[in-house]
Amino acid sequence: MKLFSLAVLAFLLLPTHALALQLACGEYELVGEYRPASSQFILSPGTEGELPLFLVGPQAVGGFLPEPGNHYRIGVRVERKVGDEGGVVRLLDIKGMELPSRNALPILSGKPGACR
Amino acid sequence: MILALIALQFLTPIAHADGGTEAIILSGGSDKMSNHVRYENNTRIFHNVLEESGLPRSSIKVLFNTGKDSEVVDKDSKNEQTEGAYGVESVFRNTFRKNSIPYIIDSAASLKDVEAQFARTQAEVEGGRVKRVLFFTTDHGTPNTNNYGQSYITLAGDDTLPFDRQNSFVRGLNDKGAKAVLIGTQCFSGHNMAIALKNPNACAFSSANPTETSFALDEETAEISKLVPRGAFSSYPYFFSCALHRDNGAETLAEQTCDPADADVNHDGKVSFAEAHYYAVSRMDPYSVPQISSQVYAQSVAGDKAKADPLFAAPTECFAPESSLGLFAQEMGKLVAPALGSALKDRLKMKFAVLEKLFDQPSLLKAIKAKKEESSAVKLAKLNAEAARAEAEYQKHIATLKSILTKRNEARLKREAIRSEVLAELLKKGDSIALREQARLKDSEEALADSALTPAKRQLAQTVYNRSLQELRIVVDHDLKKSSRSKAYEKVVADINRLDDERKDQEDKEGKLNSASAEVRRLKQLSDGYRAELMVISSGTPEQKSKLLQLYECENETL
Repeated sequence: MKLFSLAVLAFLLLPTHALALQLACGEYELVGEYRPASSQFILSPGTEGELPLFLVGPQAVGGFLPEPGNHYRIGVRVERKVGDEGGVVRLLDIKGMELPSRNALPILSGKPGACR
Repeated sequence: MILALIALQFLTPIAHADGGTEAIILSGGSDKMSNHVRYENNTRIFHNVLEESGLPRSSIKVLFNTGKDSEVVDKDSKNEQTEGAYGVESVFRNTFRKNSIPYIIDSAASLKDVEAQFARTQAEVEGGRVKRVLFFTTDHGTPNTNNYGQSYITLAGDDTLPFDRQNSFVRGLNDKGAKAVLIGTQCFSGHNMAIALKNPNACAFSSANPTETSFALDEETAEISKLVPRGAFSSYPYFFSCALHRDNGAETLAEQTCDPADADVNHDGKVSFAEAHYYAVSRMDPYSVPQISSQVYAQSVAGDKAKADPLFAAPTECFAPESSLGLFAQEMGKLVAPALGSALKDRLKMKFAVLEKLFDQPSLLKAIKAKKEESSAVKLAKLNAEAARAEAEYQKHIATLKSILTKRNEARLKREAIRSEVLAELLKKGDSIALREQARLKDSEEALADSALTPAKRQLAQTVYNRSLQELRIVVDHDLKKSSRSKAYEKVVADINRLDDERKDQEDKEGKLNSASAEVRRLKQLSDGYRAELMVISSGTPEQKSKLLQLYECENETL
């Protein structure tokens, strides 16, 4: 099952993509930093592979703490491919708070889905 | 005897600089949004040091993004950076300019151009004109999450260079008698170690291990006397190139930005690739773990054994180079020619000198509570003890931090529940602002879902969305003040703030812990690698010894 998940994740990350962290359509569990002022969720903040995601969805209204610098584990649905400049993703849930990690990989799991 | 001859072949001097070497500098850069100025600078500074070594420009092939007309992201090039309204970072935050190195760019870094360059290089090798290929890569990295050890090299646009093609290129060179030196400076670049280990005449250096991201030059700039803006380079290629830099009077980027580097640790008048690597390791902030093929190889075959073996676990043995080398010589003397043994001894001495140099850093001595005049064995014992103590302290600290985080997350959930109830009530009782902003959220969400959205319209929709989000938060805050839930809410917020203070205290502590143990961790990694290498040399199989020898020889080469 784990192998299958890894294979699916590899598929979602699309080897043909040019950047470290582009996202194909599907659902993902991600870890990153939430910036409340801009409603952006940053994957790999401060590294060569930094990727900003703009979050939409009801939990974005009151689910995150108002201070910047907090890291979270979240579930998202990517409905349109996210390119290297970042993109808009739907926040499905906030799974919890996380310790920041400078160079751990931000994509914990994923499964493919259709684009809108 | 056959093994000795094979091994000796690796130590045969090859033509350098003015005959037999070709360098390929590959900077894919993806699209212009991602083609950062540091990739341009990484390319230029390595090109500088290649030219300083006497390598003619015709032997340096630069494949850069979309070619001579490539644009790079340079935030300082024009002051067009916009903050955007309501805190939304503008999607136009990047500013672009034409690259400043068209005179050295040979072609684009598309897959088609890379294949064409590989074919030309292969032809040069087959024609006997090229005996050594330096393959330097810089940009983002693209991980193969199914197998990080086989990651991709990012090219221009959406192209990537798969691991198998990188490997087959090196194999093709090796098959025709040419050596390959791989220098990877991007995220996940440690995948190139597998290529060096798989092929008979290659070696590799990388800025990070296969599962790590790498970093732009940042805090290290404080230690550099020349003017080097933050983010102007990637850390590893900057220090690697500076180690190889020779001042020949030209006003190059290397000359403008590199401090004099004392990288020639064995004082032979030349800086080898291995010395450049160790110089970079000793200067970089320790966020990632740069890799060198000989160490990776030795640890892959002897790492666990080296830790378990009482001979090599004993600091005095593994840090007494003469006795270890004597042991090696005794072993290897039965197998190889004296010249080979001598070369090996030189290589180990070099690495030992690197370790000794790092061991004499005042900050390291302070960290391990050692004195300069103490023996290497004593220092190593203190290093190991300090590394173990620091690791235990770090784990304890992480456990504390996780405990705080769990409590804070519980408080966050309570906060979210209260705010959700308040917002639901506001909407239910028809609060005009809440209803208006909720409707705007919906509209802008639909706008953002439009696949034909231009970047400008996306920016606008994000701004509108975020404005409504902030307005809703304000409405909820305002209502909470007069709500029956206010006391409960205040308590939750007070808990969150108190836990946040505790978190900040712990994170400050973590920063201090990390800084205090950074040199210790880095040196521990190097000494463990050295121990594994000695283990392979003294008691590895003939094939393992031969492979390690080949890697040493390749890494010991100079420009």
